[in-house]
Amino acid sequence: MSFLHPAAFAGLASILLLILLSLWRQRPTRVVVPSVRLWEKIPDRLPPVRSMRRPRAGLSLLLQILAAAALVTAMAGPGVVRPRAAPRRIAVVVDLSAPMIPRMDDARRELAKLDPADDIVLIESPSLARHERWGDLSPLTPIERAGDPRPALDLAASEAKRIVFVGDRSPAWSPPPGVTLHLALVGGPLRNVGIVDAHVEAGKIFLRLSSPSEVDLNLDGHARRLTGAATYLVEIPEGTRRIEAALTPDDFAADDRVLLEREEGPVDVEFEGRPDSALRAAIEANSRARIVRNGNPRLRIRVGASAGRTAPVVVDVDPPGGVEGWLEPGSLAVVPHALTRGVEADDLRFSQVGKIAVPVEAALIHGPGGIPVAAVVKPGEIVLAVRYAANGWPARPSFPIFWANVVEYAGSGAGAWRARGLLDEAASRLGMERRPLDPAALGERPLAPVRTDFTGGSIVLAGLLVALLWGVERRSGDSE
Amino acid sequence: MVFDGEFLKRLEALRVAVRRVLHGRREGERPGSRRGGSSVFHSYRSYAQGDDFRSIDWSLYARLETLFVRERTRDEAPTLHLVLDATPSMSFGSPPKLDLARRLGAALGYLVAGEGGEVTLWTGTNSRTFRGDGSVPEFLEALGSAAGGGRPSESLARISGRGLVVAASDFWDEDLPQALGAAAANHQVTLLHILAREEFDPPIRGRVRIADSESGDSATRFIAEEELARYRSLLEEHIVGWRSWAIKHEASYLRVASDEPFEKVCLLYLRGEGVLE
Repeated sequence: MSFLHPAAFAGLASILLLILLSLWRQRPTRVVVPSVRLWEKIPDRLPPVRSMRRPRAGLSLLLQILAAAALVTAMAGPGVVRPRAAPRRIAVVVDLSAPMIPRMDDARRELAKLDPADDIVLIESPSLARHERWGDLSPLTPIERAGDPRPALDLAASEAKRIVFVGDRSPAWSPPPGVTLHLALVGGPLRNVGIVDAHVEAGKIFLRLSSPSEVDLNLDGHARRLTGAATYLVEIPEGTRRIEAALTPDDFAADDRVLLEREEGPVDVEFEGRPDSALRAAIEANSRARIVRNGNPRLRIRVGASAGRTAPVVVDVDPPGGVEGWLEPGSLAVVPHALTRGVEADDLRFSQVGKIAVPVEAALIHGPGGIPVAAVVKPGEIVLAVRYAANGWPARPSFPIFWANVVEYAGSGAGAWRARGLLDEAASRLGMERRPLDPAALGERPLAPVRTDFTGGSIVLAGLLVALLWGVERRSGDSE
Repeated sequence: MVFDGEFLKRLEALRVAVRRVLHGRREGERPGSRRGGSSVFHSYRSYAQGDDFRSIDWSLYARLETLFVRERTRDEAPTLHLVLDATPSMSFGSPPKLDLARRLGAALGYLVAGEGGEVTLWTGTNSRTFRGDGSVPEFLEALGSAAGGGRPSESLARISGRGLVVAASDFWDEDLPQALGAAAANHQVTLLHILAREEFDPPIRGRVRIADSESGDSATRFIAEEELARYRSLLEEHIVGWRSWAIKHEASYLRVASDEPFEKVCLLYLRGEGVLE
């Protein structure tokens, strides 16, 4: 037993006062009567034993002493200090990237090995969401993409000296000095074939699998089964809007199904650089085009800019870095293509044309000597290496026709297919390491002095004694 | 000290009973011990030289041939000696015993003075005499302020003559029996024994030091029901003793508690005991 304020025991002197007060109260009471004559004739006698004991007075004094002692004890702040195992601070990082989707039951089993009595903070990777309360683990849900656990481990190292990592492979991360990393790896071989890549290009769907397998293809309700290969290039009927490719379900179902949908409706267009008013007017005149700013456009028209590709369809006009040199326009030829539909060579009155350095598959316009000056360098990326004056090409009918073709291309051609359920390659790469968590390796809990305080109990006890005393005094008063 | 009109009307219909022949100083309506003056026949005696011839009963002389003189008494007003115990013990009770003593004394004095009598108020060795109904206000004022006197036995030792002696006291004075015995030889004595309710049933329990209000003596006793029963028995003996004393000395005795309604005591108890008629 220890006391926070031992000096308070000086208050026990009040017990002595209570005893003296009680003795003073027990002295013979002086009563004045008109005459003592009759009383003198009554022989005195010793009080009977039961009266000598004065049970009520004795009980009252006892209760007073006990109540005073309890109050004094409460003021002294009693308590018991015992060494008790202190909770360990543990930061638990749970990898919730896509490869963990089939591992979550194992991960929860590993997490259940931890002692809830410890001071545990749970950090999700890669979202870095923190959970101080260690309770229901069922809400832990992996995301359908890959993730790097290192930021979460860095965060964990700033929170605790003991880190438990739950994942399907060892993280490429080293704990800082003084921090120990305990692995709970739940990887291992799984029966899995997944779709690694899927896109539509030039009227064909391209599929790549992690290993050869059968694929069930559904083209707007028309089913086809593809067999025997790891890559497929299949023509799709014109006008197809929805393609579903599915593998036979296995242990990792996240990469077993891909849905490609053709996007229709408005085409968000963003300009980069300084487009001339004719170009802007041609785009704005198209009812399907919608000019946006700071969004995620389907079509980006870059004029004199050289940033990376940031939209499904990008048109570089007068690209500063992508042209080997500028030429006189000379005689121009237009190759039949969806983008050059309705475009007449006579209308192409440029002031200069650029020589595109990279050989391209789809050259739209050829300049002098057959040099391509406008081309689809790859699906969704168009280079238009031309310079034109306001009274040149923009003044001709093919100018708005070409840009209407571009909007149409962006809205329904290459880059207009959206794939759903397609994991990136890293996300579908499953970890193979398996190492159960050894809770004993976390070390013993440190012993820390823990004080159990009895002040409240002492106050309650004193209150009860005072209530009891009040009852005894009241009964005593009633009986007198 | 004020009596209400209704009470006074009922009080004035009464008068102090006189059982003995008075020896008053003032002429009144009561037969006195002194001869002559009135038409009330008292007795015969042999004629002696010098007697008034008019008092000779000639019809008796015709039958007995001896001269007898008819003696008549003189009507006298009563003389009241009101002995008021104003010692500290009389201040006990609720209301105090002295209050009832004063009011009873006032009623008796009022009646006596009202019929032309003489009232002497005694408190210890102090006395003051009031004569006739004109002195009533003065008497009542003196009675109201009477306090702190000596013991009633001291008063009784100083009373002379013959008349009515009314002692209003709690009768704890140990010399009272002797003093009253001497007074009873010459006076018609009335004892108004006034006790407080607390004296009948003392609220005392446990170990107590009982102190006398006058002498300062004290006795330490353990008081329980047994002792209280003994006390009540002794008190009863004390009261019976005084009642016996009254019978023996042809005195009137009324024991009354200080909290009894005054009108009831005055109009009912005093009449019942023959103090008033």
